[in-house]
Amino acid sequence: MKQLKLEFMKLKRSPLILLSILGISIVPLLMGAVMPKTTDGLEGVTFAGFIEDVQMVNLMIMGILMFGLITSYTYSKEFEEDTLKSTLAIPVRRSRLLLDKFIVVFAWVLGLLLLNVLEVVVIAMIFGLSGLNLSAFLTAVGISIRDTLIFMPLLTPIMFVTLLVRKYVAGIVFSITVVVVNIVALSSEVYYAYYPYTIPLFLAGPVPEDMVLSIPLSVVILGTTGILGAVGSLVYFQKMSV
Amino acid sequence: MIAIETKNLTKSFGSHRAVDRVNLSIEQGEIYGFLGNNGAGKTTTIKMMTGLLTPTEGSVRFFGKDIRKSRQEILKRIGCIIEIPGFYGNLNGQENLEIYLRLRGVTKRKAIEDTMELVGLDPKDMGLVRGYSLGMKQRLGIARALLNQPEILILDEPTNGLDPSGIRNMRKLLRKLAKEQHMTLFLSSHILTEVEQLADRVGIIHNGKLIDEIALEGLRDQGAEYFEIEVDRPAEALRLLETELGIFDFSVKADNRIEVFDAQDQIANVNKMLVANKIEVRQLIRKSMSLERHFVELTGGERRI
Repeated sequence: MKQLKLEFMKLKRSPLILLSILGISIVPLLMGAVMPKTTDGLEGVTFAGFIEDVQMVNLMIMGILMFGLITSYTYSKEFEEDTLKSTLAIPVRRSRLLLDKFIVVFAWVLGLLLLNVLEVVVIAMIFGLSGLNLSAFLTAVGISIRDTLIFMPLLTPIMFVTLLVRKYVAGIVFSITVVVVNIVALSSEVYYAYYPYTIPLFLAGPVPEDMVLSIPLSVVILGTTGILGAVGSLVYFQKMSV
Repeated sequence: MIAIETKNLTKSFGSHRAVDRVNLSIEQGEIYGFLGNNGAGKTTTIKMMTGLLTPTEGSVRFFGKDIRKSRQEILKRIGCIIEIPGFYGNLNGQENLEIYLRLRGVTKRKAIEDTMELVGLDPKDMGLVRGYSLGMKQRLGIARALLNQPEILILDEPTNGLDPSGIRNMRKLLRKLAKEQHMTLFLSSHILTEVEQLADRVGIIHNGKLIDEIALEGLRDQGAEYFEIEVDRPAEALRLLETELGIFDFSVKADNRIEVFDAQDQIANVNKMLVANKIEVRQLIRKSMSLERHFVELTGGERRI
């Protein structure tokens, strides 16, 4: 627990905290700004519908870019600041270091998604969207937690790439590539259920009836991606020369 | 008691042997200088010693325990700086030390202030480390290495970036630590004078091989071991040294200089004889067999140090 606290302490005054808040806030703010100008105006827009749209954009584009950057930054910081040599020359377990950083990433991602919910609440209040009540709010919070859990396995390959290249830019390039492939995969009505980085969209959205049977396989692919990334990172980091 | 011991320590990167069968044995309380040119294998050796690099062959033992088997236990008793110390630039000096203090499981927060003061940093300075000079980072690095009051301090180029007064203070501090706390110091450097003034014993590493170990006390005791003469006609002077005085152990240097060995008792005779033979003696200097000379001889005349 103490060590975990120290990982949070390392982020003190980090500009990425503010940048990530601004970055993730753009989605609901932009969608909120264009909402009254759409052909239907605010008619028929509910709090639940609005937050679902925001979460879909997060799952498809913004989330992976932002969370990829966060993951990459958290793991590359030790290389970029050249602190790893000093950290590993004291009695610290490498596996513990990796795990604590992963918990930091989890908390950071969850925090940003919850912030999104709060923003949507504010926007819903400003525009007087229907369906804003405690139950809908709690549902939105629950969905944020679910999305965080769905996202986390997808961040382990980014962790691996960052450890391999030792620069945060590697994670950014990886995330951008993933988003591009996401767009291609989404154009297919079938493959998006099996490509790891579009699986969250598949699982979170309304699953077409003829694809319900694909859900277990999608979950297995998602889990396998996470395990491969985590095990690869752990094995590599344990043996890595500093 | 032996504090640090390496046996056949070797590290290869592909076909290149960065460290080649290095055997070290350092007593507790000793100040050991590890001297070598840039790229000689000093940092690689230290990285293997601290478990950051896995040796290709050989072993490292601290207090008789193998670093690979008892890494956690050993690292509790060691403090080190490897290359230029890195810090979290977004934190101040105190916060950086706090992270390492807590990682080490030390609860005494006063240790931060004490070590910062010890190395000449102001504990009340709240400036972020990203604004520190290289010298300040070096001091903070030494403070970090001392946080847990280690029994062994491993320092890789500890005076990097320090100004002359900083170097002097650092030397004083390291001597004090060795003397008062009976700390074992392993000091790697490419700066001869630094090692010469601090170490009890020096190991010279060259192209990855430990090519010599010298007790500096012995080297200092040897005192004036040779003298140097500068003359107008060196070839004639050499002939006279051989024929008139039977001196054969000398070497010819540039600028008409001759170094004469094992003839300390003949300095006056040499001068008299050369003058009598109308050789102009421009200079005659008594010299000591310094570590520098020894180093240059061993490493094949590379004077990059």
